[in-house]
Amino acid sequence: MSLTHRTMGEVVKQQFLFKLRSNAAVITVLFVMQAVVWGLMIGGANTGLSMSTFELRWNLITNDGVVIASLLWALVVGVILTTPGQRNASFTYVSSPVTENLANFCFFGLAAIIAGVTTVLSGSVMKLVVFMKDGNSIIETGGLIAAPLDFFSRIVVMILYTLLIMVVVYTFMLFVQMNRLMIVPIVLLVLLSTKSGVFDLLGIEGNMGTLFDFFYKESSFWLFLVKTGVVMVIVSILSFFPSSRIEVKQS
Amino acid sequence: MTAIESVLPIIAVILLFLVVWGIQRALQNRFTRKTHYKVIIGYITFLLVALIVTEILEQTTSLNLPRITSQEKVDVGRAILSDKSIPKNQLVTERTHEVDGKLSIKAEQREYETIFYIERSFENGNTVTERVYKPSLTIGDGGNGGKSYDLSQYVKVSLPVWKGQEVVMPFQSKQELFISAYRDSIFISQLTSNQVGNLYGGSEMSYGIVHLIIPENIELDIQLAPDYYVEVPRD
Amino acid sequence: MTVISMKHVSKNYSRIAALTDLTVKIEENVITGIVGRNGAGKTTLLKMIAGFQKATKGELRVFDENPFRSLLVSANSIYIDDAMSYPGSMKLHELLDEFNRFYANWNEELAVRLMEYFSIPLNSRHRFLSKGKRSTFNAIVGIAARCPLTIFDEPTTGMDTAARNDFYRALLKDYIAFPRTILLSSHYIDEMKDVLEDLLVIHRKRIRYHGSISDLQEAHLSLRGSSEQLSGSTLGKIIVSKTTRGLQEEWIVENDFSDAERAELNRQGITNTTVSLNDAYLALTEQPRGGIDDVFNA
Repeated sequence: MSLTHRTMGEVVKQQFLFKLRSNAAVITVLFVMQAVVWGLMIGGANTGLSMSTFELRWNLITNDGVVIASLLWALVVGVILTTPGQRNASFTYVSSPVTENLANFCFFGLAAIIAGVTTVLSGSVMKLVVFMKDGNSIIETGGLIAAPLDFFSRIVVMILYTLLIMVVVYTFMLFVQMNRLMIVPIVLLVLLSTKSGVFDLLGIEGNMGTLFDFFYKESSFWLFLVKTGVVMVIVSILSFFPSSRIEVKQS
Repeated sequence: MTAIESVLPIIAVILLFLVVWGIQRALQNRFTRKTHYKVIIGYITFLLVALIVTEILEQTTSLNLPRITSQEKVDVGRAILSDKSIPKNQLVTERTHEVDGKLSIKAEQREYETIFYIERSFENGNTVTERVYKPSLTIGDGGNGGKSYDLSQYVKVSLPVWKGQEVVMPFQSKQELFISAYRDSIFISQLTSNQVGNLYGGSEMSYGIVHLIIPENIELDIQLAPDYYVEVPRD
Repeated sequence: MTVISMKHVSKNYSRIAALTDLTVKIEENVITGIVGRNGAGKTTLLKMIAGFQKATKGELRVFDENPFRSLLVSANSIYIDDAMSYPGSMKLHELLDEFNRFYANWNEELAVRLMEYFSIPLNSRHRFLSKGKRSTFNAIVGIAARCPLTIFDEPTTGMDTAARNDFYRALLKDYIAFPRTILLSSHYIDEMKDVLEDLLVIHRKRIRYHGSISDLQEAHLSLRGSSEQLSGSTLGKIIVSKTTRGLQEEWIVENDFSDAERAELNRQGITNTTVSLNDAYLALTEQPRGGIDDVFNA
C-alpha cells in the first residue's frame, strides 16, 4: 500500500473545519451567555432628578455586560482547546502537534471574529429595548449609519481583545498541561504584578494597571494593532514549545 | 487597597469562569451538531434584523440632542447680577407690561422652579420690562472637558400671568421627562472618533428666571418666599 | 520493506519504566499480534508507534520517520482502542464523514455496509451505544480506513463471540484485498490465531518473543506421563511449566529434542506433541497452568 503524503496546509485546513464542526457548542455557549446578559442589562441603570414641579427619569443601557461576558467566554475557549479530550479527538484523525496548534489558532481567529461582531451587534438589541421603552430615546453612540467608522472600530477592538485573551490563556494552559508545576511561576507573576510595590522593588515602574493601560489607553488604530499583534505573535510562538512536548492519549 | 480587595476580583473571575465552564460542559454533548447550527443561524439572523430595525429607528425616532461643555453653560442669574450680556438663545420671551403705580408679585404654589430677578431702573414710568429665561437641564459628565447633554428644550416654561397690578406665577402641574439612552461599552470605544462620555455623571438643573425691570416710581409688593426672588443691587 | 524499526527503545513514565530496551523490526503487510500480560507495556508500545507518545531512549522509526510529531505517520496510520475520543455532539455518520475527509484510502461504502451488518444505527451517537457496539464501531473504522499501518489495541473488548469472529473475519478479508501492516493486541491469543502471521510477546517490559506463530509452537513440546517418567527423560532440558492432570502430569519443555530423543520418548510411552499457541504463549510469559492452584494448595 503506497503512503499518503499530506501537506501541512491541507491538514491544518481539515483540522480547522473539523474543529468548527465538532465545537459548534462553543459558539452556542457564547450566544446563550450574550442572550442571558441582554436579559440582565435591559433594566439599565436609573438615575434622575426630582424637583417640585419637574422630574427627570434617565435610564441608561450599555453593552458593557455583553463585552465582559464575551471576554470571559474567550477565557473559557482558550482553556477548552487545551483539554486532553480536544487533543485526543484531533489525533483520532490525522494530526501533528504543529497542525493541531495552527488549527487551534484558526479556530480562535474565527471564534474571535464571531464574538467581536455579535458583541457589537448585541448593541442593536439593547437599542431596540431603548426604543421600546417609554419616553424619548437617545442613542449616545451612533450605529452603523450614523458613525460607520466607530462601529467597525469597536468590532475590531473587540476581536483583538478576544483573540488576545484566547491566545494568552491557551498558551498558559499548554504550559500547565506540559508540566503542572508551571502554574506556580505564572500565577506568582500575575499575583505579583497586581501589587505595584513589588514592581517598585524590582525598579520597574507600574503594576497590573500599566499592563492594562498599555493596550487600553492606545487610541491610534495602527499602534493598537501593532501592540496586540506583536504580543499575540510572541505568545503564539511560545505555545509551540509545550505543544510539541505534550503526549496524546495519556491514561 | 486591602488584601481582600485585591483578591476579590480574582475570585470573581474564577467563579464566573466556573459558571461559564459549567454551561460549556452542559451544552457540549447534550445537543447534536445540527441543533447547534440552528441556534447559531437563528441568533445571527436575529442580530441582523435587530441591526436593520434599530438603524432605521435611530435615523427616525431618536433625539438628536445638542451637547455642551461645562464652559458653554450660561449662568443667566450671574450674568444679570453682573450686568453681562446673555446669549439670545437663553431667552424665552421678552414682554413689556403697563402697570399703574403698584405691582404685586405672587405665586400660586409654595415650591416651583422659577426665580424672579427684580431690578429697579432709574427711570420713572409705567412700563415694566419682563424677560423670561429658560431653565437649563443637562445630564452627563460635564467635567474634565466632557460634554453633557442639553435637555433644556424639554423643560416646559410657564410664563407669569399679568393682571392689572399683579403678576402671578401660575400653578404648575408636575412635569415628567423620561429618557432612555444607549451607549456602547467604553471598553471597546478606545479608537472611536467620538469620545464616549460617562453618562452616570449625574444631572444638573438650574431654575428658570424671570427678570423684571421695574421703573423706580412703581411701588412693589413682593409676596414671594425669600428663596424665590433676588433683588438686583443698584449701582 | 520495514515499516517499524526499533533499536534499544525504552519508555519511562516519570521515573517508572514502562518498556525497556526493545529492538525489533516489523515488515510491511504483516499481521502481527502483540500479546502480553496486564501491564506488560503493550499499549505503551502501540501508542509510541502511533506517534502519540515519545520514546524516552533509543531509536524508533515508523515509515522511516520518528513517529512522534510526524504528520506522515499520522496520515498513514490509525490507532483504534476502546477509549476513542470522538466529539460528543457528532452522530456516527458524521464521524465517518470526518474519517473520509482525513484518510485517503477510506472506504465509506464498506464502512456503511459493515455498520448495517452489525446493526449499528448511523444516526445515533457514540456514547449512547452499548460497550460492545462502541468497540464494533471503532473496529469498523479501523478496517474501513485502510491505513498502511493499522493498529488495534484490544479491539474486541466488550464484543460478544459472534461479533469477535465476524470482526476477525472481516479484517482478514479486507486485508487480503488490500494488504497492509496490522498490529493487533489482545489478551485472548486464541481468538486471533487464525489471523496472525507473527507474534510479538512482551513480558515484563521487554520483548520475549518476536517471530512467526509456527516457529513459536515448534519451539515447545508438551510431554505427558507420570512424574517419574518425565523427570527421567527431561534431564538437561529447560522445563517451562508443570501441571498435574489427574494421575498424569503435563510438562512443557523447550523443544531441543533430536529425532532420536523423540523416538525414545515415544518408546517410554510419553505422549509428546507440539503445544497449542496459547500454551506456548502462557509458557513464555511464565504463567504456569495450575499456578493459581498452588496459591490454594499451599
